[in-house]
Amino acid sequence: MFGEHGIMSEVAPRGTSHSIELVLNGAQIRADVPADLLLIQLLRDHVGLTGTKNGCGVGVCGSCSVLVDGRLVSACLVPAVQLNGRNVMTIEGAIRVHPAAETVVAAFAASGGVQCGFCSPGQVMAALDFLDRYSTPDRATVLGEFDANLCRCTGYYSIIESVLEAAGRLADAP
Amino acid sequence: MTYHEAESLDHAHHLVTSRGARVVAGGIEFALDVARLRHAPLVGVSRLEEIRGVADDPRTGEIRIGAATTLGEMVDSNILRRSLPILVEAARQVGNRRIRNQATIGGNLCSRLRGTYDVAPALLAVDAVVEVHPGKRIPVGDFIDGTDPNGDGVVAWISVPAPLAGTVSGYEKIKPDAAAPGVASVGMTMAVESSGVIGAARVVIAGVAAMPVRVRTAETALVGSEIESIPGRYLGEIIRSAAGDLDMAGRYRLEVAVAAAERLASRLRSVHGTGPAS
Repeated sequence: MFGEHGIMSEVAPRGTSHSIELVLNGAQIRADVPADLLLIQLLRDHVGLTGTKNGCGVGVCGSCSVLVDGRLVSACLVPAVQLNGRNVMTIEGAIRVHPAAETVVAAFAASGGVQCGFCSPGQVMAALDFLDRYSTPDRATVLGEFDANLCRCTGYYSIIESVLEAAGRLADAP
Repeated sequence: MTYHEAESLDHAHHLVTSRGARVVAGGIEFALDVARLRHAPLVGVSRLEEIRGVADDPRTGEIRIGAATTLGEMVDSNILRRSLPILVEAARQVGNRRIRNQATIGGNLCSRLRGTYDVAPALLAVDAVVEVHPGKRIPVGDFIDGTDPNGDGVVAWISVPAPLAGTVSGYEKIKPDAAAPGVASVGMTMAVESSGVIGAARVVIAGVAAMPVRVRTAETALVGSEIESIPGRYLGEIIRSAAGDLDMAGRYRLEVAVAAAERLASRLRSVHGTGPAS
């Protein structure tokens, strides 16, 4: 995916290209990107990481939620050229290295927080961010603070249950 | 299109004046409007440490917010929570957590819809000044009304006079759901003397007109009143009577602003009763 030396060369230049280096899911990569390339395009079209979904394209739905330097953002709103020196984590990387990811995914499966699955990578990324801030949230906190990822299937109740279930499982973990 | 990461404010300013570069901070407006903005060179300022963070400057009596400070950092700022809760509450109303992690206060003030999103009305209610590098200080009302954000300077800091002891402030927005932009909102700050009498007040409503507006008649009516005795309804009546001709949508938005003002006045009364918010 990154070429044999970790150098990504698939990005075709559009206008002036800019060389950026970033850590993506734990691996150092280099890419030549035009200034108008967005992070979601870099991830999906050039690196082939399609877990990050392209939903609304305007930062509302949350299906492209990723972590940049540990902060939750919408990949559809981040110019790739601004990522030089940054650390990006997508759902693919989170599943491999984030200590809570496996538990969160299992809790979503157990509590019916997944139906069609399109929003699920974003929901999981947002849940990891949320549970990092609130280790023992009550329902009111989930309702008040876990409010920015849209789901068109579940009606949200099972997602709220999933987040509470994940919090419970993480609290019980040794 | 070329993108330059600014090395300093002076460097950014140089690229603006010599190359006609557009300043990019968090990058959200650029991402949303690539087609319109792709032709000019860009200069990114979001990583300039010299314009990041919130500082309390006792020498000047000002609280200064770096233009590249994110709205999320404002929400988490202890200085703002303690002294200017109105700015924390307003920043929290913008977009969602992901947006707030990326959006900057300077970018918000320079965006195409800069008057309408919650930062500008709240800054108007605290008498903020926009410091444009090099060397200009522009009252925020003038800035959002007239200044070309892509003029010949770079927005560097937003300065707010440190509130007097006993000041309460807040921001209230009414919106149909979490993802909606909101119908109308109110920002209010009141300097309350130890006797409980309001010594100074600023009231701003947003969402009713194209730009946020100060309601000076409401401010005048508040000054000299006891904070414990302001009926919310009274404030609402004043705001209603201060409005000029409005179309049907405007009248609806005005009523929503009145409801927000009554809610906020009641909340600030109880904040005053319990001491400053922690």
